[in-house]
Amino acid sequence: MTTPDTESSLGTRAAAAFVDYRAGDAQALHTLVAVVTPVLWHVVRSCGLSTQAAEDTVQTTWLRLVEHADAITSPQAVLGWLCTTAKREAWRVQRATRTVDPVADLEPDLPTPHDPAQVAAMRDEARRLWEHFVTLSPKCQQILRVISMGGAPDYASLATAMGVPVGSIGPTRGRCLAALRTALLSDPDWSLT
Amino acid sequence: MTENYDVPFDDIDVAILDALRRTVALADPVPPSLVGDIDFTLSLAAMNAELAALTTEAAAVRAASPENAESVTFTSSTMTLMVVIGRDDSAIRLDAWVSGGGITVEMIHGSERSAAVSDVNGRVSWFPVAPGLVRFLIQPLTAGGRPVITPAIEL
Repeated sequence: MTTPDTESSLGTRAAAAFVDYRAGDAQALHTLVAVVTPVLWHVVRSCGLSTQAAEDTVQTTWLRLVEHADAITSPQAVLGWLCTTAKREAWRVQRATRTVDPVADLEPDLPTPHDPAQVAAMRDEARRLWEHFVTLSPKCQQILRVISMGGAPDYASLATAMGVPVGSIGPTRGRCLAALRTALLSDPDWSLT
Repeated sequence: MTENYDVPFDDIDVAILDALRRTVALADPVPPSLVGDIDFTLSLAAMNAELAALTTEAAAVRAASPENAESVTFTSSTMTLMVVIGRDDSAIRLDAWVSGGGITVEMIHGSERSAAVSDVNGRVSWFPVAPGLVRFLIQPLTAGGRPVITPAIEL
């Protein structure tokens, strides 16, 4: 059994757990679920699904993995496969439940924290960051939200799974992160901790 | 001033994304029960269960109150399950019809499972049922057959 370093990248930990799962280690599937579910949550939420629909969609994504595990040729690809599958499932749910122009589905509304208590719970730094973040285009919010769930080694694979051309984010900064960076660095009330 | 975008990441970029991860986790936290729910669903899938399709859209069901949510139909390659959601007094009642008699249907409500065997008309029912997410697991009638699990619906 492999013993992934908890400090290693998300993709590496997911791949190690996936290898163990395919080798018959049932506990490894739990590890894989625990590691990747937070990313999938933000993938489907960034597609504009309600919390309830998002929970269903993430569950369905995992069922798809169990169904199609044998078709994933490289363990390193499992993180991207899960994100791509989650995104497609989310779009499918969106199409089935909305009656708007399908083109608009490509830029769905992002969920925002409407609950004042939720917003109040944010630290000042986080609140300032969020205020700038929500001024970005929906597509940039979607990409950055998902990218941020991984570490630097994961940026490129997560970006690819979200449909961003290879090389746009990771190893290079990309337009979306550049826009957020510009906004933050020009805000005198915001500083990196 | 616009930051250059066609350049490698630097420490500030990584720090911004780290801060964004913390912020997103506060703004839109992962439901605490989600991982446990997935584990449970996958344990059912480990039985080689087929995932049925929800013929009636889930959103339409959710949008309706239990009083006017008439029925939900699930279909798989081997069976159909129609579930009628109703109320007796203040409690939810589920009446379901599966394609055949003598079939064991389990209602899965959180970590609780309640099995019933369909009568000659294929009918099973549960009462009272608490609000929340439920799934149904239909056991195969013949040895070697695949069980069928449905997507969750909200009562």
